[in-house]
Amino acid sequence: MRELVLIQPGRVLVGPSERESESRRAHREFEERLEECGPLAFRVAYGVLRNAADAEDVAQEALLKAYRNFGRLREPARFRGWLVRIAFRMALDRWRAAKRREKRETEWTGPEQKALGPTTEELAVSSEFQARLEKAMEELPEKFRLVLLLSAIEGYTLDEVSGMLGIPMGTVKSRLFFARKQLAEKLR
Amino acid sequence: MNCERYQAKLIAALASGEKSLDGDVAAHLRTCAECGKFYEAEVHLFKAIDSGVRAVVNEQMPASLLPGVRTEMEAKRMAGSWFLALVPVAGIVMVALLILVPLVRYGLRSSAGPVAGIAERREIGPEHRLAVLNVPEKRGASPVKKRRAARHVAGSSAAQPAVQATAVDVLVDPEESRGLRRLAEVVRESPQWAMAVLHPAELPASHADVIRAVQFSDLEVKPLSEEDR
Repeated sequence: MRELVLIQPGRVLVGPSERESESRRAHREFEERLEECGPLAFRVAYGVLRNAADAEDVAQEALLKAYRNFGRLREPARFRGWLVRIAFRMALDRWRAAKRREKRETEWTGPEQKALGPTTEELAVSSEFQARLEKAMEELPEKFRLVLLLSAIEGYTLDEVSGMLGIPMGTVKSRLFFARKQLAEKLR
Repeated sequence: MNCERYQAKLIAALASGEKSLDGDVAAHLRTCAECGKFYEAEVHLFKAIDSGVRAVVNEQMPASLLPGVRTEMEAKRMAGSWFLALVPVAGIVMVALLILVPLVRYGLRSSAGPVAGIAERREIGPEHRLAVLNVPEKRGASPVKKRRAARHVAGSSAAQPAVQATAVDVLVDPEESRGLRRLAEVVRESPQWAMAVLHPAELPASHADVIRAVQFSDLEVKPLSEEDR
């Protein structure tokens, strides 16, 4: 016996089993992208925070946020750019919060604490130039900074950065140009 | 002045990552030693910037990141499926509560009205003709007097600001019971009757004949006789 189902025009009847299979499919698709996009999210976060533990936390949060909203993504081809923006934004938020906390603590402890300077280990790890470079990168406008970070990640060409961020190649090149020029001015 | 212009062109070329210089800039570099030194310093600076940025970005991803994400994903997926399964159940419970709560509340309120429930007497005998109240039984007292005693008790509780619900069973004859049920229905429809019954007004003798007998289909309500008063 055939069963007749009335479907309202413009609406799709989705049963619990269909919903579950859809969620399984989304889960599987996300899982496939995780191997490639996990390191990308981590590197973007690390580029902003320069601390592996913090970057790992941010990358994990960004990946989970992307997973939760994966179903809402209209163009799956834009997934990488979307994830990069989430990771970058979250890393910036964390970096700003850390800066505010650091500022409060500095004000609280007074100038004596500040006079201690970097430890021997810190000096060994990062040279003076590297420290100045990182500070100069922090001062870059966000859109320049993101393009600079992405273009420096191994394995990504400018063409891929353009596709990832959904902006024209000329815009990527000009942002990169201004970013490098501003860094050079600050480090000269 | 010329050197400044060429130096600006050199910086622009290096910042944009061009591999070769324009012809006029390259020619100037061959003739100007100062610009040659400037160019070498700038090349060194841009290389340092590039390698510094690469060092910042290309940090090795910790091995714990992806397994951690997968665990969280699985936990969220399981929680999500449980939640989806619970949504219809929660909806049904909510609808049931919305229906039942007013029913129970208003049902209890209506059953706690000033008119007591009436039970039929099964056995007729003097020991059963007793109101299940703290009303002392008077030997030989008429049913009307017993009802008056019951009303007196009910009336004393009704004198409180809010009428208290009382579990009162009055044992009466079957015919009387049917009549009283009908009275109870009428009183529920017109509560002013209940108030009039619970708080009888003392009328002067001259007005006593104003109250006439009220006739219901199953029950006759008359003014109390002098004997019953």
